[in-house]
Amino acid sequence: MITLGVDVGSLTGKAVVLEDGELLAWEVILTGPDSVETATAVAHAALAKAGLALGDMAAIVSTGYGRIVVPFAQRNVSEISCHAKGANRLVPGVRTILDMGGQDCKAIRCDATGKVTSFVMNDKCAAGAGRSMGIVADLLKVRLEDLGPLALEAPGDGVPVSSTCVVFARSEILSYQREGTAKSEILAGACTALASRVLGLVKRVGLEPEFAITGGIAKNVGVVRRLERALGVEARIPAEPQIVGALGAAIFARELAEKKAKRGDRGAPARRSSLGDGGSS
Amino acid sequence: MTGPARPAVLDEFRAVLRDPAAVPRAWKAAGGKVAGVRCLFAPEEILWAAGMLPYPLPGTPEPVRLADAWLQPCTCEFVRNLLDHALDGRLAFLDLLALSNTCDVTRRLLDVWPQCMPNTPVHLVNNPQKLLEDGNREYFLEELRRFRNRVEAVSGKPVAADGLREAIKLYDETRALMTEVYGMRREDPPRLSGVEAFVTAFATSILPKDRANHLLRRLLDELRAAEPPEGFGPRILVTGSALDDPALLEMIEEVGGVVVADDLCTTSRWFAHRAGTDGDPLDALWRMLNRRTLCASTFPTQARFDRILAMVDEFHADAVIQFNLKYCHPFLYESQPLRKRLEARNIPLTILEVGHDRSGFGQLRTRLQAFVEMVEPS
Repeated sequence: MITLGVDVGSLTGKAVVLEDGELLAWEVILTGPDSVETATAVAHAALAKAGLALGDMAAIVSTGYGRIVVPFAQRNVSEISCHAKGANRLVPGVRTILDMGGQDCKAIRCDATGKVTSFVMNDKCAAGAGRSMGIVADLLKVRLEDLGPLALEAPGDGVPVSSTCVVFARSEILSYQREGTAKSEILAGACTALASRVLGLVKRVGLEPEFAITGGIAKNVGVVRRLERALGVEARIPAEPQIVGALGAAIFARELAEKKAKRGDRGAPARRSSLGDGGSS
Repeated sequence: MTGPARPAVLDEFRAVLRDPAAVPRAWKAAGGKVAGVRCLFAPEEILWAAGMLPYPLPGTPEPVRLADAWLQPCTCEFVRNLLDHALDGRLAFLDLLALSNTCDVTRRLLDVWPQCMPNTPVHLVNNPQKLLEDGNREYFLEELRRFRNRVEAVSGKPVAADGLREAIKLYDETRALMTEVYGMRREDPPRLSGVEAFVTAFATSILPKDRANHLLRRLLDELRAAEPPEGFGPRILVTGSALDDPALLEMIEEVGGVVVADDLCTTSRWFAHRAGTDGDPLDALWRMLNRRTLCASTFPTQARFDRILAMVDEFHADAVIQFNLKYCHPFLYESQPLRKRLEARNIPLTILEVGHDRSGFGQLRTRLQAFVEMVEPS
């Protein structure tokens, strides 16, 4: 049985093709202005790698900010449920997940089956999310992937950088640059700020090992090390932390297809629609 | 909506929500006077007995514009939105504004409002915040008498005991009918959706109660005759700040939740208690208000939590959503104590902070969907 999970995030689109629980192919692309186009492009790219087409899929589930508009998905599932499901597959025994994406962060607790038991999400502001690191990297003319290792070169927590507002942080960094502060010190400060911002989320949901970090920021060793130090535990980072949500969606798609087969294809029970003329899910 | 046809009378309630101000405008056009009311301690019965239409001020989901010149941007967006209405002339028909001693920003409208609408008299009923105490009776009764005197002066009509008793009788009837409508949500699936219940309760709060009672009787008949709607998914209780916009409940039901009960000042809080017509009518109103421990600005807090837990049991709720308007400090203070009480009973809770202007609704949808997925049996 082959299924597809598509995760349309705020910065990147991800797709995972799964065959009988085994990862067949995956792809990550930058999100364009049109979520439908992004979903279609990333799905076809991942399917092409596996030599398959949409028609070969037993079921397709979408997730991420653009999940509601993916035209070829049979169901959409929130990225919170998908990250728990995906991390459960990649990190044995995981109970706490910190997903640090482009525009938001979530701390998630789950049970042994990967079902969410509680979660908290950052407030509306994107400070403390991946996007803020992108702004810092641009400002210091550092490649995103070099940012973490460079930040580790500073011995301490770096210079103080605002953790509540990216615009404030930006002007602080500009003045540090004028004063000639070393890049590594500034980056260390930015990583410390981001880590302290998301630390509160983990504390609110309560930390139970195993602890995994997913999402693009899991690739930033500068943030990860500081979080580990503050929490006193080692973080498990999946090999491809960006595709965890899409993997979770592909697993949900498999469960959906199995249920459908069991029911003799009577279709899912209709959910009650809203009275308003708003969208449906 | 798919599934069986819904009661036709619901359209009348929906029409009220589309343009609530049409109700007081029609009242004025017929020669009556209108009192804006904010919060539940300025008894509407006194206004009704004086021939005035009490109008519990509803807001609109728009960003705050003019009010930020008068109130700090870190205060309740709902109240600032109402002040916008005062400033741009949308409330020019008000003959009186009746306030209660609830949250800071509502209280302080006593100072701010007259500067924005200088020709509308404003009266604050300074209700005690510690309730369920017989010791507040003399003071509270005196406050109610002062309110009655002010209403008499503004309306030009005396409020006699008999007239007040008639008003209480009418309002008690409304409260009994609403309780009956809400009781139909105990069933599984509930006989009306969370959005339908909200629309009914909110529109009823706006309408003259004689008209509302007529519509509610029709609704009860139609609900008994109608097929119950399809209702899958976890049963959810919503509690929290003043909610004057069905959008949040629509979203909960769109992502698969079924809102079976609500503890809100625009809905069940205003009809939770009855006054009765025994003895002195002001005393009857005091007895009712002294039991109205339903707003987070009042004490004892645990009495409010007891009621939420009783509602969880009565309506067979699987989970609770605490909705906080942005900067609604009274309810935000209660979030964690409420979590403790619910955790002790293993009832899942999610705490939301929501913009009155529907800002941040994309992320809100993710949270609500994840919460519904979490409490859904897998």
